[in-house]
Amino acid sequence: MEEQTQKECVKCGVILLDGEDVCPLCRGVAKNCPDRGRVIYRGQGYPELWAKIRAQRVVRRIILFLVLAADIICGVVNFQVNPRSHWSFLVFGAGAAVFHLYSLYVNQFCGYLARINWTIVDVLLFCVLCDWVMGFQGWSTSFALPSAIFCCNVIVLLLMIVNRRYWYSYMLYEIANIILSGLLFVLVGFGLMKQPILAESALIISVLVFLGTVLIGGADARKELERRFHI
Amino acid sequence: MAGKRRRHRARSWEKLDNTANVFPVIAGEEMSNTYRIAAELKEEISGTLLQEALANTLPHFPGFKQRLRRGVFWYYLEENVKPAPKVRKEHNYPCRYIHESRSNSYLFRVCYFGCRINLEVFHVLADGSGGVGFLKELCYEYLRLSHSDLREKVGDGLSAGTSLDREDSFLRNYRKPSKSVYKSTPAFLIKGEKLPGQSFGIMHGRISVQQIKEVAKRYGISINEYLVADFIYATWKAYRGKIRKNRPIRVAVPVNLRPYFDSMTTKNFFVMVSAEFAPEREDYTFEEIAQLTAESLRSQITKENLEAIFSYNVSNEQVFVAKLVPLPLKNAAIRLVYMKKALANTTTVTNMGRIDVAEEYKPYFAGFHCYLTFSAGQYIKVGLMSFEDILTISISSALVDTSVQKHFFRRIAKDGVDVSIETNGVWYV
Repeated sequence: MEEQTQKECVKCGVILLDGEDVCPLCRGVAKNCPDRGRVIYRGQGYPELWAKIRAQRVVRRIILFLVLAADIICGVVNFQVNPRSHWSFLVFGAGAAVFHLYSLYVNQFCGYLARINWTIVDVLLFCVLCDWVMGFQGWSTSFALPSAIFCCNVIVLLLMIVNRRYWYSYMLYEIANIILSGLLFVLVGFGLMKQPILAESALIISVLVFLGTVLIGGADARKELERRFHI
Repeated sequence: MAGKRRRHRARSWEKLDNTANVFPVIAGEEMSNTYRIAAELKEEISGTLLQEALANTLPHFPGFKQRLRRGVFWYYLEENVKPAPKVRKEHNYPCRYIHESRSNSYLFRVCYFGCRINLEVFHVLADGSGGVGFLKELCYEYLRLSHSDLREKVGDGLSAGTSLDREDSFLRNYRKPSKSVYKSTPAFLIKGEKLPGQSFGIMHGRISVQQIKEVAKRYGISINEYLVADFIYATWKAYRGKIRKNRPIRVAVPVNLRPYFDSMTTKNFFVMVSAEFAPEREDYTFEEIAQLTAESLRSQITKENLEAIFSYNVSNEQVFVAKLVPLPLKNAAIRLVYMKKALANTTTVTNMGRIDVAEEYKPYFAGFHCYLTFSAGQYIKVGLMSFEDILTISISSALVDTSVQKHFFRRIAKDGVDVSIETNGVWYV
């Protein structure tokens, strides 16, 4: 077995096993220590990670720079060519959404549900922005919002099929879809949504999906609701 | 038929214990609330064999075969029927956040490096005692797979003495509501420039149990008291000018409640006591700090006081109105209370004690160590674990400055103990 380096920091009075010339405690220069008797145990060490992490951070910064550069250039061109139009806001919004989604998708601590939910939210916000840039016709609230709820219901059904082992796990999301559909009526009340039929359809579909899960799921579905609502 | 029956059996689930309720709320990338226990063998680890060992061991531990779910009022744990999480060669900083939907939804992670097997556990599952039991059985199974003669000699299955109990010992031993005995006034916090890129700094100091025992005896205190006192002394030496009486150095020390309440649970069953040092003058000797620390700890580690501490925690959870508060609101309240309490401690020194392994397996083990991740306001933490004559002091840190570690280890060396230091290299970048 290869003989490993062993140093000593005279100031701290400790043996250093990292093989470096500097003491990590006092930053003093360490000297060679041939006395192996003073080391009762040498551990396994750790992998070198800093280079990998630095590379990941550089990629992220490059993407951020490109997004910002595109935003600034488009903003300047928009202002110079046609200051009355605000189309550069769309570029800005799309850039922000792309960067946000990129951060979520490369983040290993972000679950698939969070990724799906944030993708829907980002797309919705972008729709609202498009609507605003085009003079706010109201299509983003009238059509895009109920479409998002239809979409959420389809996603829940797909997830139940894909994750068959835990199909009942998505029942709380079904309940959330019902609540969100209910909130659409608030928008109808404020006049922000001009097609109440779409709000009604979203609510009916959300309720049907939930009812179907409870009835077809039987005991498993009831047990899931017991667990989820336990106090 | 049996297979069909199994498929149709309702998934088992369990409520979180009193301590565990806090962890899912406060955990995140910045504050992962995981701890690592590592076993070092005398042979290079094979990833394939370790994966097989994990697949064989996991079904015996229902407490680890769980996933975290979010209810409307509380989090809970549900049986996880997915295959064991993938065993990987260590490729990241230790104690990273364990996301509930990653690693096949398991709340622990197993990786290896050289001769070392690392088990990282999200604290919601179990405390150190529960983790040690699982790691030992995993190592035993690994050794039986890699040494057929050992398998023939000891046979298969778990070893005697390993507990699988999942009792909520907080609830079982809770008698009556108690007043808060926690110190919640702010403590001195060790701050400074952070290591780059969310690095996790780890420094192991290895010393002889025999030597440190003699030193502690000289001061008339236990090893644990000596090391807690040494941390206080090191902090005081490093930040003497900044420490005031109204911002004392307060070291949280988790106390394992199992011996006091005759419990074998693998769930969390510990409370925190704290050793406090509020300087009233400019100069203190180590001997004085050691005596103050020992007195402070001894006065708190009594069965009555420990019972009062956890009874207060449990009584809060038992308020019916509080039970009916929806989880997002509960989370906000728990986060607020936690942040206040977390800032009341300078650090945490956890002593998992001496690890005993079964006689037949002893020749294959070289050492054990443990450490904790940082938490709000506590950017340096200490984990202690010993095996045979080796005591490993593991100091995890998020800070560039190592002056606390310097004074800590210098003191031990000055007292005549041989100290060897090993780090994960972050302080050389």
